[in-house]
Amino acid sequence: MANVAIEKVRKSYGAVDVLHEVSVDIADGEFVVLVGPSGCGKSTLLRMIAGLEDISGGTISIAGRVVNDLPPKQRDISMVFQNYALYPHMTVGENMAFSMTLAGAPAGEKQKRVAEAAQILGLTPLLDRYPRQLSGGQRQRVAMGRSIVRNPQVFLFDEPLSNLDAKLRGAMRAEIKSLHRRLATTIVYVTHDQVEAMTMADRIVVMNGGHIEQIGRPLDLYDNPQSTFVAGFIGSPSMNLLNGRFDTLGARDIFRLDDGTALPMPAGTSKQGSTKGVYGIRPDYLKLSTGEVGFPAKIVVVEPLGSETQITATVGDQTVVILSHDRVSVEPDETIFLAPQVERVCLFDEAGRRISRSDA
Amino acid sequence: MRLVESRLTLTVSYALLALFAFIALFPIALLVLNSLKPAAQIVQNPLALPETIRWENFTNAWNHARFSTTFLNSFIITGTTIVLVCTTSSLTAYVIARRKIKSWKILTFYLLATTTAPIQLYIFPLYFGFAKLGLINNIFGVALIYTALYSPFAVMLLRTYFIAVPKELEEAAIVDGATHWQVFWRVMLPIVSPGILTVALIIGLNSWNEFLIAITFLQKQENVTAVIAFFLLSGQYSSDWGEIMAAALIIVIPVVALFVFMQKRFIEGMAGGSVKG
Repeated sequence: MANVAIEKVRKSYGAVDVLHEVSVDIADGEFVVLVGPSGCGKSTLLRMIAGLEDISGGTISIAGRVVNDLPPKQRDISMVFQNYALYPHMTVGENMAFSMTLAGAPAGEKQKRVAEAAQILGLTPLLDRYPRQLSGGQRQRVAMGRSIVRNPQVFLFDEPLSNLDAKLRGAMRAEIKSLHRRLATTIVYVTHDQVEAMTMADRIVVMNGGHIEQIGRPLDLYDNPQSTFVAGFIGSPSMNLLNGRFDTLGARDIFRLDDGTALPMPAGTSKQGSTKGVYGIRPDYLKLSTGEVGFPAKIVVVEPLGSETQITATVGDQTVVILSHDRVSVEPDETIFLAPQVERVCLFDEAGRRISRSDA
Repeated sequence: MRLVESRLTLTVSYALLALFAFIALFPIALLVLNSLKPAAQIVQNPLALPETIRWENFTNAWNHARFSTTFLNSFIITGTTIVLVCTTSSLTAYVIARRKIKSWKILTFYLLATTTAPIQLYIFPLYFGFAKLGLINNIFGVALIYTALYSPFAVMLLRTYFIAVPKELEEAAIVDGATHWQVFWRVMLPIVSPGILTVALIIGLNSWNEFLIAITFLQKQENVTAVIAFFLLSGQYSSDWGEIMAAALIIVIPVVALFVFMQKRFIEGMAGGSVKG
């Protein structure tokens, strides 16, 4: 077990920079998820930790040892690949034992460690099968077993669940999480799926365009996104981000949308000299009001999901999504009134950075 | 199973396939038929069934073509060529397929271009060069020429097999602690083995049947190959056709046996299941 320290790490291919001075500290035993849209550099960062990509600048240390110039096998890490990367000509047992075979481990120890890992993952009856005889979920488990057998200091996962169907993905998510609890090994996990990030991570690193947007606990990111990018990326359906400008109505500060609709501002929010801005409110915190309280919106689509109802509506020419946990009887084209929970509103400046509340 | 093709399409395709099969099998049938007949009967009517079966054709062919020696020569040349081509080409193909070095595209192009150059173009300079090196009448020298001749084809073919192997397998092996050699030997080679088998089969067939280089570079009786010995059976003025047919059949048998034996492994797909298919 070990901590991983990433300090001002850069990666460039020729003149193109794909990672710009990225720094993350991952504590011993922590489960950290790197999340972001494709091309944000998350997989590149993971591969740099693994030693499969050169580091253009900065340092990566594992357990206090700088590993920049160490080959993968000396870094004491193991990696699970998106497409499993099982050796097709070896049985499950041989696949799992391969690293020990390479290291020249005695047969007895090899067998013991493989048996242990197989038991943890429920692979014992499959040890003599070949990868082609396994289902997707089983292959995924073998890939994880191959990692466990090595007993590494850090587990690296590169989108391991992307190739599985939705149901299996949910099951494997729980399995990986319980595996982490059991082994208590540091895990760095890359995904583009924010649900995976939210459900599994101790801490999430949100990346965008080679930069880190925000690092934090899942619910911190959900409640207090520091940028419109994080606000839009974390949470499903994503946060409503409405464009407009800061204004006053009488003595009150308000946020005026482009079509003139006035929205209430949370107490103690300064404008920080910016007149234009973005008004962020999660679909859960927009309430359908009885009577004409709040601002009017016209319903476009109503999607009943059973436990909740998702309503898409327009305010001026902007779209808002409302998630109602009560059964509601509304129809498309109907005009409804929406009351935002003001204390849950996140305001962003024109550049998309969060406007903090403290300096009122 | 429901067939998508119409009955007419099926009839036409079967008829065509039957025609091709006939074209392919007719000479072999003729070979078998005539190898059992005395020469006089063959000249009379090559298509007639044998009146008397003449097994001596085979013993005569074996003795006159000295197959006990010439077969051994052919085996040694073919075996050496296969071993040399498979080892060197698989290594080369792996490097060309995987190590992204820009200028090596030129090498790939060069290899591709050489497959189109005819051997007749450089057989004389090659002969004089080999004569200087004292490699004339040396069967290993001939194997060396075959290796050079067939390598470009083998490299190009194996290259596609190596390219088809997912990069992650290599990376997984590197993370597992494999050296480059171990990645090649323990991961890549077993996966591309059907490709190597294909190369071995094609190269083996080519070297077994090769004539021009063999007859140019092997001039002593004791080191000619089976094919050359077979060629020498037909005399300038008279030929025993029954014996020649029998000899041809004997030469063909190892090749046919090899194909029948290897057929199953040939088709077997090894790469299935390594990654999501």
